[in-house]
Amino acid sequence: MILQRFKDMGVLGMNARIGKYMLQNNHRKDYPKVDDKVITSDLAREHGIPMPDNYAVFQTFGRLQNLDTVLRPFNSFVIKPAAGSMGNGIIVIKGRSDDVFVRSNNEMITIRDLRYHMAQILSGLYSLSGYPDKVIVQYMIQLHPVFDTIAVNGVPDIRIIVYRGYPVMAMTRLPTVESNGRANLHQGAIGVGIDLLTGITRNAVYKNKTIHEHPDTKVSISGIPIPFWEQMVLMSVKGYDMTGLGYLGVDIALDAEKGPMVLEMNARPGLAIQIANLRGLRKRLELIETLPGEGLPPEERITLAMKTIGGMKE
Amino acid sequence: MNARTWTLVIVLFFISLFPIFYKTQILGVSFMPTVQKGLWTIEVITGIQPSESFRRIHFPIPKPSERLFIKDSKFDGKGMALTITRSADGYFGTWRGRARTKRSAYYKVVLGTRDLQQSPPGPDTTAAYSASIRERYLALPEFSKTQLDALTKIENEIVPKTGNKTRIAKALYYFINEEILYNSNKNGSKVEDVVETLESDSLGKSKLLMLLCRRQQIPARIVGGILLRPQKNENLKGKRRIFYWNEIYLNNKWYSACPTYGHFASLTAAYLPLFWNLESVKDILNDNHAGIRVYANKVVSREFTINEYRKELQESKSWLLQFSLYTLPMQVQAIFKILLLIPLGGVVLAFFRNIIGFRTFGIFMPILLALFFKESTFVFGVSFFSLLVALGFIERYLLEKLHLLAVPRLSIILTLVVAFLCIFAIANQSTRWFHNFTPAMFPIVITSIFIERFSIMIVEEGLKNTTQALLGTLVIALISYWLFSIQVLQVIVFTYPETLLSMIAVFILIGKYTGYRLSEFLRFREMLKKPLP
Repeated sequence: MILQRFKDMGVLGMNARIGKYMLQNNHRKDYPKVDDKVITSDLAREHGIPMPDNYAVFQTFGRLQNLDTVLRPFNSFVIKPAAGSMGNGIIVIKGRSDDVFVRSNNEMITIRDLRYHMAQILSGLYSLSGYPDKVIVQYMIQLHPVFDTIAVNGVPDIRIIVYRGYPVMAMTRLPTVESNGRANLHQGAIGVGIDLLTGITRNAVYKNKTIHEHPDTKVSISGIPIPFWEQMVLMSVKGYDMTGLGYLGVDIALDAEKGPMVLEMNARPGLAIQIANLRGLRKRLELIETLPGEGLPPEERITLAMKTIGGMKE
Repeated sequence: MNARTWTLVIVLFFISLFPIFYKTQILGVSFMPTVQKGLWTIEVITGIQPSESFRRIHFPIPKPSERLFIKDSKFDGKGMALTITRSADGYFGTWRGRARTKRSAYYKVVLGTRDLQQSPPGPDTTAAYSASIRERYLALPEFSKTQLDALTKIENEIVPKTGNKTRIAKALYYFINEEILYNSNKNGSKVEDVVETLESDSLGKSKLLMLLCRRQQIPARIVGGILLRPQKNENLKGKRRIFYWNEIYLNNKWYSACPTYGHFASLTAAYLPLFWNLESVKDILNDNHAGIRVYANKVVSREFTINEYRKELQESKSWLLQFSLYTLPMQVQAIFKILLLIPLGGVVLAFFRNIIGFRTFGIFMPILLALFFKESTFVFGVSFFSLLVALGFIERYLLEKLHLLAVPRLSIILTLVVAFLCIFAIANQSTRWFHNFTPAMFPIVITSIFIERFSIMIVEEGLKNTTQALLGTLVIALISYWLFSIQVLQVIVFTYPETLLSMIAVFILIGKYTGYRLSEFLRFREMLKKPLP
C-alpha cells in the first residue's frame, strides 16, 4: 500500500536515481567538471555563469607557509576543499583581528589552526575520493536581507535539479543553530521546497519532519518569494550546457550585493528535495523525457519545462 | 531490465549450473564430499622410562579390515624410530632407540568401524587340526587340582553329551554370557575364583570361554581391544581399559563371540580389536617397562571426505573433472576456500546496501570484517572491532589536538593497531584466550583508514549517522560471518567454482534493481502526510 502511494507520488529512490538517471545521463568524463570546484569556476567564467571570486587556490603544503601574506587583504572569506562534498571541510571567516579569525558561528580560530585545517584538506581528508586535494579561498557571500530572519549563522543555498537541461525541482536549505551555519540537511539544516514556477517557498522539512516556522527564530518559512528567481533558474539551466551532465544539481547562493551566484554543481544531487517539496521527482523526470533532447536555447527550455510542469497534477 | 541483460543473466546461470548437472548426472561423480560420521581418534601412548640401553618397545595398533577403515594416521616417537610388524596376532608398532629421559611416544589413528555380521556357523565335526592351530589355539596350561575341579564341574553341567563342536561352543558361550555376572572391577585372572563367585571382568569371562573351548578340542583365542563408546567420566579424557572377547574356530573360520555383552557370530561397531590371542601377545606387550595407554575420542568436527572425493576426481577420465581446485596442494586449497567466500559476502553486502538500504563504512569493510571474524574467533573479532571504534575516538579527541598532518597521523593509528596486535598476541600466548590467533589475514592498513573515516564521520555527520553506519557494517559482517560458517556452503562453492558465475548473475540482478530500498519507506515517510490529490 505504501509502495503504491510512493509510486503514485512518483518518489524517486536511490537505486533508480543511480541506475536510471545518473548512469544513463551523466558521463564519467564530465564528472571532474563539477567535482573539482577550481575547474567548475573556470568553466563558469567561460559560460558567463557568475560564481564567487576565488581569492587564492593552494595546491602545495609549501605555499601554506605564507598563508598570512595571502590572507592579509581579506577580512572575510571562505575556505573550502576543491573536491569536497556535502559542505564538509568548509570554514567561513567573517572577521579578523590580525592573526585571530572569527568564524561564522562566532568561534575564534588562529592562523595556525587555519593552516592545519588547510593542510588536512590538501591531504585529501575531505575529498570525495580521498586523493590529495586543493584548497580554495573564496569570496564570502553576504547574506541577502530576505533571509535575515530565516537563516541562522550562515548563508542558505538554493538547489535546482536540472534534467537534460530542463529545470525540474527546487528547494532552499536554511542553516540553523544546530547545523552550525551549514546548509546541509544531514547536519540539521532546514529544507524548504520552492515552487519552480513562481519561486515562492512552500513546505519545509527539518530533521525529516514537516515544519512551518524556523526552529531558532520562529519566523514563518513558507510563502516567501525568492528574489532573482528567473535569473537563478536560467543560471542552473546553463549549468547543463556548461557541464553536459544530464542529471545535475545546481547550488546557488544569493549575495546581498552581487545577486545570485553558483556555489557549486553536483552530479549526484540528493533526494531530500522531494521531501522538502512533498512531491516526487520521478513523474517530472518522465515528463521531461517527452521534451526535445537537443538544440533548444536555455530560455526556451525553461519556458517548455514550466509549461509542462505547470500542467501537471501532483 | 532489457532482454539483453536477461539473456546475459540466464546464460551466466546456465554456464555455471550446467557443469554441476553434467558432472553429477552424466559423469556420475558424487555431488560433493560427504560428511563423515562416527569417526574416532585412537591414540596409543607409550610411556617410556629412561634407560641407557638400546630398546625395542612394542605396542598394538589397529589393523585395517573389512569392518575397520583407517582415515589417517600419524605418530611421534619423541626421538625413537618406528617400525610396524604385521602378524597373525595383529599389527604391532615398535619404538626403537635409546631413551635417556622419560617420554611419551604416541601413535594416532583416525578410523571408523562397522558392525560385524557373520552367517551362523553350521555343525562342525572337524576331528583334526594342523600343527600350528593345535599349538597356538588348543594348547592348555597346567591346571591345579582346584582349577580342574572347577572346570569339570561346569563341563559336566553344560557340555552336551552328544553334539558337534558348534553346539558345544554355543552352549559354553551361553553359559558364560548368562551365568557369570559381568563386573569390570572384579579381577578374573584366576579361573577357580570366577567359577566360585560366578562374577568376573571381561578378561576372566573370555579366558574361561577360551579354556573350556580348548578342553573340548575347539580352537579358541582371546581378542583384546577397546570399546568405542561415549565415556561417562569426562576426566578420563578418553582413556580406555582393554576389553576382552573371544574368537572361536569353527568350520575353518573364526567366529566372534563376546561372552560379556552377548554377541555370537556378530559384533557391533563399538568393538575395536587391537590384538588377537592374548597368550602369544602377552610376552611382547609385558616384556618392557612401558606403560601403554589407549585413548579413544569421537571425532566431533564435521569433516568432509575430501581425500576420497579427490581420489574420485583423479580416477575419472574427464578433463572437466580433473580441472578442479581439489588438485591443488592442501595449503593452497585452504586459501581458496577463504577466497571463494568473498563473493558470497558480496552478495550479502549488495543485498543489504541496495535492497534493504543499510549504510556501511567503506564498501568492502563488512566483508573484511566477516573474514576477520572467521579467521580469528567471533568474540575476538567483535572485541577487536570495538577497539577500532575506541581508537577512532582517541584519534578524534587526542591526536586532533597535536595538529599533525594527515599521513603521519594515520600512521600513528596504524602503529597503534600493530602495537595492540603485538601485546595481544603475547598476552594470548600465556593466557590462551583464543586458539589459532593469526593476525596476518587482517588488513591492518584498511583498518587504519576505517578509523580515520570513522573519526571524521563523527564530526561531519554526527553520532547518529555514524552509529547507523557502524551498526550497518557490523550487522552485514555478522550475517556474512554466519554464512561463511556454513561448512556445506563452503564446500559447495569450493567443489564448484562455476558458481562464481551465478554470483555474477545475482550481482547483475541486484545491480539492475531500480526499485525502492526498504529504508526509503522510512526516509520518505513524511511525504505520505501530503493529502491525496
